[in-house]
Amino acid sequence: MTEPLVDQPVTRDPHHPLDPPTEYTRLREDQPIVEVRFPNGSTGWLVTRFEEGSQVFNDPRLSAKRPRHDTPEGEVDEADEAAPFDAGFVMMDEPEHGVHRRLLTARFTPKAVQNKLQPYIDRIVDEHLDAIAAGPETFDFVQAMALPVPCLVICELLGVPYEDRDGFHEATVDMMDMGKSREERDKGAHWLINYITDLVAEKRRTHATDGILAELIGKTDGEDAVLSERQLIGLGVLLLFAGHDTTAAMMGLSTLTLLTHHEQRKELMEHPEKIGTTVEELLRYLTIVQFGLGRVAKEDLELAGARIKKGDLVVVAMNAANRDPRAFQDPDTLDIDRKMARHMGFGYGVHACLGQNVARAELKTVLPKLFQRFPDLRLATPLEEVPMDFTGTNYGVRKLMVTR
Amino acid sequence: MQISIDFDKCCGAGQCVLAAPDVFDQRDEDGIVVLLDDNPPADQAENVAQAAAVCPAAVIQVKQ
Repeated sequence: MTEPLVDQPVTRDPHHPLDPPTEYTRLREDQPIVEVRFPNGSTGWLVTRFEEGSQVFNDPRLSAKRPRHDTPEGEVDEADEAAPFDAGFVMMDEPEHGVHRRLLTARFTPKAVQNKLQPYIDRIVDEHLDAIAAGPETFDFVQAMALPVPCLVICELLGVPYEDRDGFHEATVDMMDMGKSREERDKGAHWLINYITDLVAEKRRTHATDGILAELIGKTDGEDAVLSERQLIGLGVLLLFAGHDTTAAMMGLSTLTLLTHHEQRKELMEHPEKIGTTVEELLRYLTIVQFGLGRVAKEDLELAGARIKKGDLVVVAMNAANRDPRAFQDPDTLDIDRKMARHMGFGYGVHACLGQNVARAELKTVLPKLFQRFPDLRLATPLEEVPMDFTGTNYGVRKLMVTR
Repeated sequence: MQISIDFDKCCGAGQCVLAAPDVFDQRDEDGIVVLLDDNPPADQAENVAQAAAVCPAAVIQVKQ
């Protein structure tokens, strides 16, 4: 007799909003990999342990070209060709993946971020802190800092006008919300596609040289073109939504976490030099990618004792893996002094988050400055009343009312 | 200590440069790792081990 499949996604315990679903803990302690049924009715595998998850991300027999697994109940799989936009290197395998990703990597190295972006980040964070100081004592941290700073940074990097932020953020939220219908999500995607298409046309017309989009146009036009027009637009869309929504979610959630972990916040305020390990620990502890990342088996293979068939979808629940006691001592405790070599907060393997050093720079700038400027900062509502985003691809807070 | 790198799999995250700046760098044009010293002195052992451990694509191999 076969065991009944575990239905995905499992839900978080609203009383423990900073922890992954408790069901994941049970699955992880039971076995490293389990057969699951996704909301669209398709079946596959879920990996909940760290070591086995790392293997999935580093195994060339598993392809990054995968169908969606996190769409709402009853929705039919979307074939890659039918997807509204081309997800580019995110869905490619080697060697094609490397060729496309390396069109962008130079802008995202620690050195490039430090030299070209850090002064800008320092300036805009200070400006937003000044605005908070001049505003009401109780305010929404998401609107005052967690959303505008990542939006400004991605606009600066890509060459996107900041005055368009309401439009592109709203479209991103629509597209990423698995609580919304396919129609609503596609509406968000098409808004972004049309927006980037118009912006690219404008940049071509003016021969713009202001950022990554303009650089990518150079890789699309001319004799030695690497990108197709659809790939160019897809990359623009991808960088715009992935470049701001992730960091915004992480910044709001990190602030909430420090506001509810008094000893850890105090320790950071007394030792601002610990911000590096603090940010890594927050990335591990919070792991905002809510429904995991998938890979598809290119051949029959065995993984942690499970027989995976060619074509099977294998999803790694990074939020569960990042709390695996086999990889992290006392994993459910937030410890800003934690010594760890690696975590899966940015995914893992060759597809690890392209923008990770930008995200680190923003978090490492905002968190110490925030608590230095407003040492009495506190939640204005009880934790249970903070509206959490249980349906977004990235977990986060929708609103975070705090008092300075 | 002998270091070898699978350059094709390097994802350019640059965590090795932060861990061991005397041993690793990144190419300006595409962020791919540059090995400044493939046989660094013993006092670099800890940094190099850290660099190998943090690499998200696990492309750094160290032989003692």
